[in-house]
Amino acid sequence: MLGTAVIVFREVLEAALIISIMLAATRGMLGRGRWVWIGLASGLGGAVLLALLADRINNAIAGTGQEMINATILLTAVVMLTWHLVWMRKHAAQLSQQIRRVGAAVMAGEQAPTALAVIVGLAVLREGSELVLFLHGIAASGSGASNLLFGSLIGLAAGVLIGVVLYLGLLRIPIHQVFRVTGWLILLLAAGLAAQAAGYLVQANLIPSLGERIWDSSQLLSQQSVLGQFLHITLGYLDRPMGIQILTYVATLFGILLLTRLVNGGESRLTPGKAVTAVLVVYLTLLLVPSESHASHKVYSPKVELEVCGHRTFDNDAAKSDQGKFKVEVGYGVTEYWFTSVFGEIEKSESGSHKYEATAWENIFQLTEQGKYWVGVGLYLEYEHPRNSASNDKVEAKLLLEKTAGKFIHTANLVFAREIAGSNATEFEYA
Amino acid sequence: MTNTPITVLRACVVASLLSLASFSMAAEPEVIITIKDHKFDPAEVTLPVNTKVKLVVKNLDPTPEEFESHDLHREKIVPGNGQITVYVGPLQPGTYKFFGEFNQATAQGKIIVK
Repeated sequence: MLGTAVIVFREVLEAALIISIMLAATRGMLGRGRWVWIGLASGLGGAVLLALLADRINNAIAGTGQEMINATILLTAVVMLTWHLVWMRKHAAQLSQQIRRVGAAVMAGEQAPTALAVIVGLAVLREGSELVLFLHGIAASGSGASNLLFGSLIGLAAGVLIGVVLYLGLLRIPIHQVFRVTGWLILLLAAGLAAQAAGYLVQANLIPSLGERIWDSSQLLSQQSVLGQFLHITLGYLDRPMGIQILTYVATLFGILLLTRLVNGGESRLTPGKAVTAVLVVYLTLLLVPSESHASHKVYSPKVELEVCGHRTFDNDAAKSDQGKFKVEVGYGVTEYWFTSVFGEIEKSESGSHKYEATAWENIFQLTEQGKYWVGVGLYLEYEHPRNSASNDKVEAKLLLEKTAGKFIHTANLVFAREIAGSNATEFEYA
Repeated sequence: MTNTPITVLRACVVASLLSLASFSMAAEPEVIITIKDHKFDPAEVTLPVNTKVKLVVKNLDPTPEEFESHDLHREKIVPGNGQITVYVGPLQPGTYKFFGEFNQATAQGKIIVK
């Protein structure tokens, strides 16, 4: 009975937490209750159907049907969450204003509630189908029916209880901040789900793991403990993550942030960016001309790399001349796909003295095998900590695109930089 | 950009040490594990270091089971009288436990990599 309760609890918990966060995030939306029920009901119906078809799904797509279904469900949820975030960013201010003024229910469009129903439905679907199979299995093995029922009810109640506690906790957040807080929660939730999906795709042998166990914090906080599982669902905590999961997590996080900013724009910085996009599209189209495709001169097979870089200016204007910067970098190729390095920047100022400017940590992930596709794709992540405390720490992410056509190597890097604290401006540029 | 310098001299010295990379793409070795009466057979599997292995789990029981491993981050439902394929590795030397989530009392096993 206890065993049944524990398993039911685990399966229910994930769905319960996702539903709680979504409920808090859609606070004040008219008719959301109806959409949650629609999501719940269709999720449960789908779960039973999925369980009935388990055999056939398993054998589909070269025996990896189950992973594909799981990954698809998870990634669909990520897309819906992203949609919700984009939509909320537009309407959050208006919503919280109205809630304050009118009290509770407010009308605010029909689109987000649909996303709400889909997200709820998907959360129930994935966990529910496992539950149905498990309970069916126990029932079939002839263990006492009352034991089964009782255990399931305890598990269900415990899972729902934690969800309710989280919801009530989120309700205590002042109304003008609730959308910001739930927005961050949903962002982390989406990144965590994407990382889970990546895990399934590795299991199906579709993508490389980029290292099976990047760190092991299971002694510190086991993912199987209640707190560990709570953090796993809400923040995406993994005690023994694969390289690709960390990469997916970070990429999803930045991807969604970038998207919500691009869609809701407003910042004038993006306008020149759009012009460059057009140029970039033309540029990439030109490259579509079939040619030998061995992209990327970055081979991360060297285990250790030392790099010294510098530049110096010469200008008629003495004030601008003779300035320079040196970079000393030590790097290490952890896997074929992951290269990490630490570097220091030394700047020569106008006064002629050399000054240690900043320390940075750089990571390059090679996402596609060299020459396999017509363009090589990589991800670059940099964290810079300036020595001068007046400046802010900076995070920079680049999407590296590289293509060899004839004797030329074309590179297109999409840069996404953000200063931590301070002005909080996010810059987006193309290089 | 206000202060555009006329000339920028850029010099980079890159020294790469130890550029040894061996990478082979052979077919994965296959290991079969069966489930009978909610127990794994063999319950202990030895796998080679740094190799991707195809695990085939066959369920001879009529009830479904979930093949799961926290150590390996794998979970997959094995239908009653059905079989599944799970890829594991490349793994570092060590012991990796796996279990049947639906029958944890009896369905326990481990993979030893050496």
